[in-house]
Amino acid sequence: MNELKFQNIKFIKDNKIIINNLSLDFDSRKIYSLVGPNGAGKSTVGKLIMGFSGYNKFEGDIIFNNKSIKNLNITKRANLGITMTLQEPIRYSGISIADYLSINNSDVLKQKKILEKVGLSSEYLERNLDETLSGGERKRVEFASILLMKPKIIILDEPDSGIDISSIDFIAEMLHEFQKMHSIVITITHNINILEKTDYSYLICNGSLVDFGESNYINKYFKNKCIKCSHKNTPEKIIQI
Amino acid sequence: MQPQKYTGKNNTDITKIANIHEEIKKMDVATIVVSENKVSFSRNVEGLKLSFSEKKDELLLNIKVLDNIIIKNPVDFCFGSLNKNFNQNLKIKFDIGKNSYIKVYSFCIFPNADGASHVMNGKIKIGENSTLEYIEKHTHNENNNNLNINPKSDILVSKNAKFITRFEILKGYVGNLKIDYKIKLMENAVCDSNVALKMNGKDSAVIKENVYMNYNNSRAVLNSKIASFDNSTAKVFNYMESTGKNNLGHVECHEILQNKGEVSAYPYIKVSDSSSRITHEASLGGVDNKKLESLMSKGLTKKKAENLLISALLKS
Repeated sequence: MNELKFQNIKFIKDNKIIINNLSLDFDSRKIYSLVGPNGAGKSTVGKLIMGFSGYNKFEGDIIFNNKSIKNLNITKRANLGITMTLQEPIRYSGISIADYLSINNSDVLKQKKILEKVGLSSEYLERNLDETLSGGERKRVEFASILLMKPKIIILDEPDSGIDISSIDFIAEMLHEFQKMHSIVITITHNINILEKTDYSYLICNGSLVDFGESNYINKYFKNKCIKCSHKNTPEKIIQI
Repeated sequence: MQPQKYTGKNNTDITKIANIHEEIKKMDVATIVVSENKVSFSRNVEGLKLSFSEKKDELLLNIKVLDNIIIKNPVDFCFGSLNKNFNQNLKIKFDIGKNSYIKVYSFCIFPNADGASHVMNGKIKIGENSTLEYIEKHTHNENNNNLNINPKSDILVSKNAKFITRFEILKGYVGNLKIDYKIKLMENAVCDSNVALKMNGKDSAVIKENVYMNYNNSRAVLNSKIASFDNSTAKVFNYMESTGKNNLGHVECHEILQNKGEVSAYPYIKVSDSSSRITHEASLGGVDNKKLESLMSKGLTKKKAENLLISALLKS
């Protein structure tokens, strides 16, 4: 079983506290959600785990399978099996889908099978990963690359952005595919339809943990309180660890 | 004259290219193989007339495509030298008749050049309803950049005609490159020009492309993609003017630089009728960090991710 601990993290950017003494635990038995309003710090958690530039100086520690990853660069973290998909998949002019999927040393046959699994025909292999593809198609290519990479931690930032509502079931299917690989799956979302496809959720507001528990429970809290909340990012209730 | 023998010695890529040309010679493909200022092999196909005149220090080359001719197979030009020092001076007159089509692959191969120059002066006329695709691919010395490359052309694209061109350096240092194209578009004519360069060491490039849309309904795109490393410098001057009606043009320049490279872009666009429109887009700077880190999050090292993005830029 893979385990990730986000321990007592305090992260300041542009003199503003973005993450405030936040601790979260994840393991590969459940599918997780980080939920909260816009600007709560959800994506920041993902970027801190991945170690993107501007997100590698913080208080606290990130422990993956009992080892700190705090001082590792992005490539080293990826080689340990950590990956993150961005809210808006990047457009790469001049890079074909085959080139992109080859990053993980996969052969064409494997690539074709994986593309089928994410609902794209094998003809897509020759197409460029640029603006000629829709946001939904690029998202499907991202999912295909994850299936080929077989990472141990998958962070999905707003997996539903850019795709239509009917694709929510497809995302749910993908989440379970990722879980079958014994990966820790963390979705970052404020979409209650995605939230209810996960097992366990952390509710974050203003960089702090407001509540956590089974996703059904957090879903009710989020629907009843957060969505209606007039003072977003100034929560009344903060969980002190 | 016997075709030159390519032993390749230390350069297997050149041997491969040379062997391809040997194969092409056996096929029904129009071809001309030029070593410095001498023609070592040439062949015409139906509808195409290649003729040449060898002078002491230059080669005059006439290419005529008759009216209503579709040249089925791409035409193969090979301009090269395996010597270190040489001055290749080519004067090319290209005359394409009406309702015709020709695609040319021009391979310029100077793998050992050190203190050499390749100058090409072209006069190109593309007749009404005709298309010329001209793909120029260079292979240079991989060990030094002591080479001057000066392609210069005046191109007239007649009514309903198309000119599509791509210039790229496949291997080796760019050297000292000066491109100078003047392209005149008649009514309903099209121009699509692409330059892709990867520059290293003390390479320098000055790219000047002028497009004149002084008739109506013409379309033009000038596209430059440059990756500049080490101490290399690149300057791109794109001029596009429209005095006619309903013309559309776009000037695009993307340059990536690393280390002490220096890149600059000078788009100059001019429109004098409100029914026409010219746009320009330029980006200069380092590799896009978001793209870089996204590729690194798939497991690529920074260097490999950069290389992938640079080759993608040059391919796109």
